[in-house]
Amino acid sequence: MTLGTASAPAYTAKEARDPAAVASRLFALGVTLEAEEVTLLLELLGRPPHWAEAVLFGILWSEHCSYKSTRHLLKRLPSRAPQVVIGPGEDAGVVALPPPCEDLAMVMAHESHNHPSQVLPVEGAATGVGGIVRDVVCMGAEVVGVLDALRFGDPRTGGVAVRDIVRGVVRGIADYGNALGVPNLGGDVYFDAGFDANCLVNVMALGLVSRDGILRSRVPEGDGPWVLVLVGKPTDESGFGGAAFASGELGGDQRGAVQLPDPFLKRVLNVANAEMFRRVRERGVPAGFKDLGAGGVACATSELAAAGSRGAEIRLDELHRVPRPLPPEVLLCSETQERYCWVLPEAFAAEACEIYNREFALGAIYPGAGARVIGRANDTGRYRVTWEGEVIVDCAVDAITAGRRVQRPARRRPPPPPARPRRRTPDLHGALLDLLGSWNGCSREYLFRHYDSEVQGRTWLRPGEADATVIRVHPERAMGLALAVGGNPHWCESDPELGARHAVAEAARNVACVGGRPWALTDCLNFGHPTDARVMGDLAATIEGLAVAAETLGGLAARGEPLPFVSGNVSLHNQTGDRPVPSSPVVWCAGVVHDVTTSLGMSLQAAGDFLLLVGEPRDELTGSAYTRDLLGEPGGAPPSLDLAREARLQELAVLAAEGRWVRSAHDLSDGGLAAALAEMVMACPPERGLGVEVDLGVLEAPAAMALFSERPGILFEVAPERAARVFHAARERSLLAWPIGAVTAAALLRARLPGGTTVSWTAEELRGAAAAPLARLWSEREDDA
Amino acid sequence: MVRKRVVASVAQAWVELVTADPEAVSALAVARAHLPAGRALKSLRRVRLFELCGLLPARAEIETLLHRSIQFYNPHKERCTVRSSPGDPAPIGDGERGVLVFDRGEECREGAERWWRHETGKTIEVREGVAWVLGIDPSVRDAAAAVEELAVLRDRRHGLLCNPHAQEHRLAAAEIPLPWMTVAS
Amino acid sequence: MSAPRVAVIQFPGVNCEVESARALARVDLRPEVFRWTRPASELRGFQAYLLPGGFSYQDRVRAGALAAKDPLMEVLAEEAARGKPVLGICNGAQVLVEAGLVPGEGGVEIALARNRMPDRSGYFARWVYTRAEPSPCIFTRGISEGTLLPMPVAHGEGRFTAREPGRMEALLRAGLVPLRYARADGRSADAFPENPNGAEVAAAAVCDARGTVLALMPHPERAQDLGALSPGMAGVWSDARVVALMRGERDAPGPGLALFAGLQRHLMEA
Repeated sequence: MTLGTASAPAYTAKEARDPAAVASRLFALGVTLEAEEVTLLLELLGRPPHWAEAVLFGILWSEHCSYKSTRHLLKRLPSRAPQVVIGPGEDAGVVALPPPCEDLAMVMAHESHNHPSQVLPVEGAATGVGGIVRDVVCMGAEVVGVLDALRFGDPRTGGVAVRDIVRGVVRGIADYGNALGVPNLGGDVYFDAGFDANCLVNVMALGLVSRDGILRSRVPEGDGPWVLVLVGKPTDESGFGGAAFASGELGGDQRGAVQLPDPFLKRVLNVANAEMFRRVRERGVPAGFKDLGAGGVACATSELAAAGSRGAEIRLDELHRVPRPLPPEVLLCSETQERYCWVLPEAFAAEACEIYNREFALGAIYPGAGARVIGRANDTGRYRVTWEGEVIVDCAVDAITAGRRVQRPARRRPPPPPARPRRRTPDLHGALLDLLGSWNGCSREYLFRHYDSEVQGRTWLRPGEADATVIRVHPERAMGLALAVGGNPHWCESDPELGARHAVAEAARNVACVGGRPWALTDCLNFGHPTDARVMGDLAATIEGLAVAAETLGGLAARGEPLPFVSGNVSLHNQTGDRPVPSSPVVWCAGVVHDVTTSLGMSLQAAGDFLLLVGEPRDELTGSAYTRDLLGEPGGAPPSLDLAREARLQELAVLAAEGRWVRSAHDLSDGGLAAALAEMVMACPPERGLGVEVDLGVLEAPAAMALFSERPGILFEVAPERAARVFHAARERSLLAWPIGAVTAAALLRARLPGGTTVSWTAEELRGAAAAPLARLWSEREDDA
Repeated sequence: MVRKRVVASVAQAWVELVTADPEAVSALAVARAHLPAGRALKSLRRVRLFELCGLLPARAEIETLLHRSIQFYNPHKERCTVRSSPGDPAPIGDGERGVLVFDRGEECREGAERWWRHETGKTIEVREGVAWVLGIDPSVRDAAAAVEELAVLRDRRHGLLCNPHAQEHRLAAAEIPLPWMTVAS
Repeated sequence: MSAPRVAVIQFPGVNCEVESARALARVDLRPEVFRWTRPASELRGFQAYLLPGGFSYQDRVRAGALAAKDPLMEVLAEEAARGKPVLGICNGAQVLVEAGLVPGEGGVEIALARNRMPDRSGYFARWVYTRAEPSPCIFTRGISEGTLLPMPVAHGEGRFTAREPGRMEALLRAGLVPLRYARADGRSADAFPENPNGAEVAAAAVCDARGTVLALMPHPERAQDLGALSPGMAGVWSDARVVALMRGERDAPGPGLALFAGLQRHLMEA
């Protein structure tokens, strides 16, 4: 693993005359610098870089850390709104809550852990959760929830490899999140053969922090003197360099290069951090805090020093580390999990170390874990690292923040025409059961029963109970937060811009359905190689779509303002050979529920209630699961979307919930009206024996279209005496509304079709169909099915 | 629950973390600190043990198959030793003793069995347990008794590795039986 | 008289200490999170103990196995022998069983084994109904026999079992199974998922003969607020929830709070 002496030059000025040759030689040693970066580094430092510096800048300038291919594009996303406290740029976004909870802010972070999860599903997904949780903690927040958006290959055609990944990722998320004591608050799952070789695991974490307890990742103002305190697991070589995910070799691979998740240590570390937060806040101790992720000590400490152009000196000899000898560049840059770095006044450092080392006895939880002073922050404007008396890194902090930008060629493609399926399924009864029994239409219950959704005691509505999950900001307070994810990969692949608009609209609509006011967004953009012009074209189109939708849908938080993107992540290189993954933006929306007692589930409530459908006419089958999965035809473009009308639809949903006009609500998405009705029936406890009876004639559309069109809409269950009010509110907003039926006292879904015939399904057969696919997948009974 | 079928052949896969196993580290620390018999314990390793039973291919082929699926182990962090005949050595050192523990009625790994059938077309039985490998202080006179006392949970001061109300255990000294978990009937 | 003090014992890895403490505070007890690094003798100053849920020592060896050997448990066992109440929830129940505090007085007599569920294994989270049985248990005292208390379970090792056949039935007959998994109509749960782990005699909890130590697998602290009851449940609690929500009541007591109230009554009488 040793590259060379850390303080020796990685290449000479003479060698740098052929930068491509230097780049390829460095690459063979695990250091990734592009040819032009070889020259740039020489210029920035004014001398040849030491080995440790080459390693450090290789990481700082990686796509993962620098966003060099996408940063200029991301500026297009709206990120300013009155509620934004800290927007994109730090580890997580911070958003103010409205009165009476203005003393609190929510913290949102969103990241991908795609590649690691493909290679090592359990560890990859677990370290993904661990990493995103750290991003929220380092703002001084308590982590109150995690969500995950998962994109898997086709479990049937993709074979056991895909199924192993599905099971492994879910196990990794469960093992880590459950033990950590952070509730899993849902997310979404899609299956598509386009993810066979590259699964996507996007993780999101939500935090709550006192407005006066927000910590920044920087050296505080003032003279200090400041010290840097490293906290957590002893540094080892895990995750060092690019070699981490080379394939394991038969016969025992001894590298130990995999990042090993440790939720047990992390749990204790989080409890100890909470105690630190309390003391720092109570005593008014100025402090900076940052988590260690990619690039380890080097990235964390250099970024702390560079924020505000300060400076730092790191004594690597002081680092607590595993007993085996490791070269300094490894200690400096390895990605050992479960570590944080504090910047504290020197006078407070001993007490801080005492909290971790004695009060919480980290060393007894994990051998060698603890807190130690590893250096000083200063105002020299330089970042220096020493090891055994030698300086191995010495550069201006401005060089660290200089960043890189690479203009990549991009090629936009014309959107496809809408699909107009020619065939029809004669058996509509079987069609719904087939749809509910398909990978993308089936119930996710089997999966989320692996997760603890209730730890911490804030949870109000759980996954599967409503369109969004809802937690209380505190068990003694009325305000809640509603959380939902959007991003249909089939739509985004077909038309990246329109698909991205839908992703934002869907996440926000789900939040609105439970009665939450969409308050803030995050995004993760999962794409192929940035060197592929089509990929870059799709990425640009996606960002445009996200931006346009967000600009329209912010009015329920602040009138006339956009719904802000407060944090995000770009994951490129999700590609094998010349096949990138389907364009996959994942959008997370957090909303504010003023009073959780008004929030709405999707379960039917009372026989005799009316069912109202509000939204777009049922006049398209393009993009639908019906066309794609049942007819087996190309899905075509996503359904059309009128964003201004969408904003009014969401406003209606929020007002209907806040005013207690409706008793339950459910968004129409995959599978259209038929799937939505079935889900409302299935969500109702069997003992209550409720069902629905609808007459689709009022929709003035052919039966298949009425049942399966995926144009936006919301189904409301309304007590008869309130129905006129909802109609009136819809008309005021120029929204179409149809009375399609009523809740009945029989556990059936009965639909009278436009032609006059009636189809009906028992709740039992709907549940059976929807439950089958994932149970089959887990027990590896694909062949028997 | 032992399923009756003709035992064609049996193989064991011993799967151990390449780094220190935190379970073993904690168990050793607790046993030494709080159990009277724990003072005799010098070292403790934790090895996941699979027993495969049925019409099996040659050892090299078994090794290749196990390496391919995450049903059995993760070659990035674990090493696997396969025994397919009693002469094959188990990864147990001189003077070490083995305690096999498995959850009664929960030892079968049907997912792994289905995976094997997918890959090979052959139906086999797969069972999983944990082999604790104990290093006992050589000065202890009755090592077997010390192992037994550490193995079977009786109360807060006696026993740790197996709760007999839910688990089975088997003890072995230097020679590890093959099969160890599978009971021929 | 000041409110009785209850130690919420925080072994490393537990994660339900905050909401458990809140439930105690709601019934006018004084909870205090007691960290594992404190001297064990300080435990003696408390009137009752709660072992909260989570993953003490990361479930190493077996859930509850390592915490059961902790010196804190020796003091706890002594205090329990004097009649001080101890409530173990989920992982806390696993610790009590592994420490031999239920159903006996030191010897390990039963196990909380891995869940046994058709078509799945491992961790399983779901709301279930539990039914109160005749028992000397102080936590369920005042809850009439047959009352259904909906609560969530969330665990991988929750199947009460014993090596000796008939042992669990004997405990049931002796009144040491104060709560059993049930169906919505009140009958005993005879199958998954109403019995979420395959527990013998559908036992959701086991207590000691005195009724002061209770090992409980479901999470009553997650069912302390009526409004947070899962909408997937039916029955009188569910009907009461709908009414409470209509009235905008957030703090109506949920079914789980009844067990904490039982503790409080017992302590006030003592």
